[in-house]
Amino acid sequence: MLAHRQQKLAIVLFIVVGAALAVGLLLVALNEGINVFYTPTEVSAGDVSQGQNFRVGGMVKTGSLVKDGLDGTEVNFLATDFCNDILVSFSGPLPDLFREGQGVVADGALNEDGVFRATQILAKHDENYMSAEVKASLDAAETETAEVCHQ
Amino acid sequence: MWQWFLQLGSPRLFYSKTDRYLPWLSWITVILLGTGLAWGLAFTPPDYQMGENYRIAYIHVPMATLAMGCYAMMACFSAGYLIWKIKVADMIAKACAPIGASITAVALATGSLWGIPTWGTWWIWDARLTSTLIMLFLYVGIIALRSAFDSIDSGARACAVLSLVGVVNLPIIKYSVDWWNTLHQGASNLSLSDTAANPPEVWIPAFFVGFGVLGFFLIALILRTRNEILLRERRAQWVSDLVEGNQKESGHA
Repeated sequence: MLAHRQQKLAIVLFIVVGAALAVGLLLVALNEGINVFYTPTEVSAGDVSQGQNFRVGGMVKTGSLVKDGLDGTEVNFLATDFCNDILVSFSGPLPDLFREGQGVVADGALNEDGVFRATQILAKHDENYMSAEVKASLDAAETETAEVCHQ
Repeated sequence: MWQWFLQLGSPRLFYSKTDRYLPWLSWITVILLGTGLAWGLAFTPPDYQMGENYRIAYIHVPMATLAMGCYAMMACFSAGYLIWKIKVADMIAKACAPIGASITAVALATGSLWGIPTWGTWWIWDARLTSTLIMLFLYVGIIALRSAFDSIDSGARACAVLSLVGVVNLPIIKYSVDWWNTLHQGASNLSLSDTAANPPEVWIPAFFVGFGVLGFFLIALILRTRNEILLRERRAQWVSDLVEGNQKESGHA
């Protein structure tokens, strides 16, 4: 009876470990494809070709945002991962959270001049929640931290 | 403790024991949910960037966490059924599936509602959203698989195996935001300090809601399991006695 139970336990472990192994190998094989965007560093390293549709993600570089057009719906900005920048140009509605220093994910393609022509702009939110008062006291106490660049 | 655990393995004792726990559990749940929701939805200060929108997190985060917890629980009871042939374990696993599916659907829907104003889209095929959608399909698949069998035992075994296979998805959901680039944000580092990101005033209400939702989940789970027990044991003497007792009671009233 006990041997029977142990056999069942072995089968259960086999199912779980087997499934984990199979899916694990699949995910390792798909690794790059699962990423929802490329970083500016990957783009400048030539991971994507001109004209190919893809997403690029990074921060809207502080001081780089330029609004054009009559109603300011045409925007140009630098998306940065603090190692490399890529110039993004977009015309259309922007999400509420889009601003300098915020995460951004742009969908589009590179044109001949190496400018990323975006067809859609998404804002990426970080995992920090706080009230305006807390944010203000944080900013007051902020010390300059050097960004570490992983090439 | 062991004795208590073994007693819950008997359908009849599970039924009578839970009878005593249910009122307590219900009161605790009402208090926790009421406090947490009122606090989180009305009294915590708005977020410095998202304003009032971020309050959706007080529903979304507990639901998403519980959806995964429910799956883990279903898989544990499935393993318990496969190894020790405990019938109540299968009934609990069966009760988990529809509750888990509903909770996952709420987590996805609230996430989408939050995504429209925040991200600018209600859906993106990133690793976090996709793996959570796969969990919803697993829940629905498990419900469908069980109903495809005429024999209770065959259905229970098939569902237990599928539940165990799906466990692999849980670490993928949890670590998707660390392993890959996603639009979904990473896990928040909760801070004990009042002057840092994610201060206690932000996350304490979420814990109240979280435990309240857990209580609601346990109540739903117990009620569903009790129904299943009555259905499967309907020919047992104790169920007939129970029904007879109930009829007498309502006859007097």
